[in-house]
Amino acid sequence: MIDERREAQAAEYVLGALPSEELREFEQTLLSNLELQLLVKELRASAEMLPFALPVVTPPAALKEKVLAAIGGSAVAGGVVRESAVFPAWLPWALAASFAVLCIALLGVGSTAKRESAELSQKLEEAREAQAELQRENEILQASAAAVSSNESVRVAVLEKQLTQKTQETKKQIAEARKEAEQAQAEIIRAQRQLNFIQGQLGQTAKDLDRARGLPEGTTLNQGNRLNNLRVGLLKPTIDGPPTATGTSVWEIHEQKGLLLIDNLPPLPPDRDYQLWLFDPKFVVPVSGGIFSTSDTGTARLEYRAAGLIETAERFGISIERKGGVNTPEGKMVMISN
Amino acid sequence: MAVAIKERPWPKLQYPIWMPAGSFARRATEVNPPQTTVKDLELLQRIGARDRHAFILFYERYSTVLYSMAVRILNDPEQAAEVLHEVFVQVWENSGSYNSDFGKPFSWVLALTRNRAIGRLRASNGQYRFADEVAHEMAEDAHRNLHEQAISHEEALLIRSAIATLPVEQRQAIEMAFLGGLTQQEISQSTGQPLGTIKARIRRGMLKLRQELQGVA
Repeated sequence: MIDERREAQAAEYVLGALPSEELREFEQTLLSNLELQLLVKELRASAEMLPFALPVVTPPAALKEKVLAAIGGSAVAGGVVRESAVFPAWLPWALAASFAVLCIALLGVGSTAKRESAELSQKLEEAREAQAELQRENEILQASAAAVSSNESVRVAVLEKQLTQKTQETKKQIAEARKEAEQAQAEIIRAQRQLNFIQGQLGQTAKDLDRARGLPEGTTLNQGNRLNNLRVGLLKPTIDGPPTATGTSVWEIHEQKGLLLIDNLPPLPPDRDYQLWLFDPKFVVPVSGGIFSTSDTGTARLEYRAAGLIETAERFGISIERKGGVNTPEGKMVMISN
Repeated sequence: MAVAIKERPWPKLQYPIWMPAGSFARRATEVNPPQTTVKDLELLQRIGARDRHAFILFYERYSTVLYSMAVRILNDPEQAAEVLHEVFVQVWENSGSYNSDFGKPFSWVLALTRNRAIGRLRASNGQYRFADEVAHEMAEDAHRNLHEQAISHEEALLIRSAIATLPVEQRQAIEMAFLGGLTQQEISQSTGQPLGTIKARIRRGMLKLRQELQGVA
């Protein structure tokens, strides 16, 4: 079966109008397509009939002489050549003999026709086989197309699954973030409570100091001045520390003493101590604030003094050190302030 | 331009009862005498053997239709005569190497004439002009002015009738391609029609022509 595109190409081919870019591909196809060869042959024969439909224009008589002169010589006398001749007397006998020869020739033609018929049958059979082959290829292509479609379905299913997983992960991350936010809120509340407690303690300490200095009751130093001498640090766990641990450290510069409150910091083995460190830019290494241990519930309260004169307590840190403490931090830093 | 007009009465053909109208046998008998091609082959063989008599027969058989086509392509009788001169000299010189595998002898000389005429048209920057003379002559008198040197009166009549059945726009596209040597794009530009329309016209026209000329071509 020749499709419309090939029919159009065949028509253009015989008229000489097929574009050069299509010509090579068409001629390649033509070589192997018996049906297309037949179509081209028939269309070409039809095209060759076109001049016979044109108006008759007789060539000039001189042209014939000119052509004959060019090929060497002149036309036959009179310029007219007839295909027919005068019938001689022996013509009937010749016709009879010709008839006999024709009969023999017809027998030969019959034999040739049979042979040609057999060849045509063979070609037809080949064409049928080619058609069957094409049918098989078509079925294979359809099967391939179905497989491709199936693969696409699988791919879509995988993508849907990935999307579902991604959505679930995102939901989980949102839930975790919300939980962390709640924990942070709880820490803030706890730190606020610790701060209130420390402020209360400081107030009490100030009263004790005033009393010791002999100042009358109610004549305390300006509270703002006192707070200017304080450095408060909220301690948070590092990646090496317990995630739920919280702490607050206050350092009073004027008095060179401080207070540390800790929650949720698990107790250490007997050969280890927690050690508090104060970070002052004046010193190359942190300055020790003392060692401490925590209760079974993870709490600790430490009133401390530094190993050196601290002018600016920028940060506070807690490390795990060997029993009795060290001069400079050696173990892991488990908590650090802001 | 000399135009030969021949008049012939419509022939009264008698056919045996086993050749009903439209049958292949009757159609073949009417319009396709097989000996024409055989004679052409014989003529070319004899021309190859330097038989001037055969050459003259071949010239008389095809010079008119080839000249008519060349005039139509070039629209110039003098140039058409030059083309015909070149073609027949080539036939004389090259008929010895003619191979029937290349097609019928007429196909060969037709291609020679067509290619030379279109080559001259292009060289002179001329453009083929379509003139729908077929319909005009069919309307006037279908039996007049037919090519009968190479084919029979009935064949010529049948061919002209077949071509007259094509719509004029299909005839135009086919003729511009075959006789004008124009590409599809050039026909599209010349007629102002889209390329797809030209392709469709050529396809439909040629298929229709094949159907109409079955048994003749």
